[in-house]
Amino acid sequence: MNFLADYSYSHPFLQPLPVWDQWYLLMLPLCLAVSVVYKSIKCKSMKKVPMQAAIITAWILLSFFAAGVGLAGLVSVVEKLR
Amino acid sequence: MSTEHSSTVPSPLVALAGWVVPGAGYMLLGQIGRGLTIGITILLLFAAGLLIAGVRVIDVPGYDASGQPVMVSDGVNQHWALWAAPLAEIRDKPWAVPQLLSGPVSIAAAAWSVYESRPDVNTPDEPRGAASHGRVSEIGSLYLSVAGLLNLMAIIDSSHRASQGNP
Repeated sequence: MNFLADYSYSHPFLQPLPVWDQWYLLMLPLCLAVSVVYKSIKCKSMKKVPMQAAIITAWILLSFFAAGVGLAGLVSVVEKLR
Repeated sequence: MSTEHSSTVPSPLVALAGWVVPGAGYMLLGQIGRGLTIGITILLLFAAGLLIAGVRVIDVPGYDASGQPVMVSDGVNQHWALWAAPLAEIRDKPWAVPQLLSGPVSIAAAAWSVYESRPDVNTPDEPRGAASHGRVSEIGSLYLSVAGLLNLMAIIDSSHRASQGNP
């Protein structure tokens, strides 16, 4: 029985957003916000912020991806050894 | 002769302004672009957290899941848990600490969360707002907490700039 199939989203902010299958996409705005605030604090000139924030966002996402691939590889190795 | 530009705004006032309105500390120092960028980003992140997980994702210390005050007894009288044992209550709901750093907007959202946790007049058995669970709830809490921690970083930096006379 699938309860989630019956879920109807009608009241923003009063109900959770039906994003349980796309949760990994929520990483992007979070990384972007962290990068923008961090680089706004760090950079002397605000003109540099958009490019610097884009670069650091890409680095964070690449690092997450690399960590995910690494951990998945580690898990598969451990499973084979068991 | 010194050519350094010195700030006349006291750093505690800059820190307080930065807590009341994210980014306002920079604006007091004349850095409008920096203040607006940081403030809008933090508030958008906070709103995104509420949108993703629903307002009831805010676990308010001193209130239970049905929005009623948590009371503790000393054997004679009942006391509100947040007054009687504040540390224990906050330790049970640690996300509340970073979320509070976003400023009064987080207090307003917490009050909204308590209100939406209470039963509706038309549906006395059900709360007004739906609670989120699992990954969506975790991500919503994370958004709200990261917004508060980013604001803390901005508060520290803006008040440091004010104390250094370097707006």
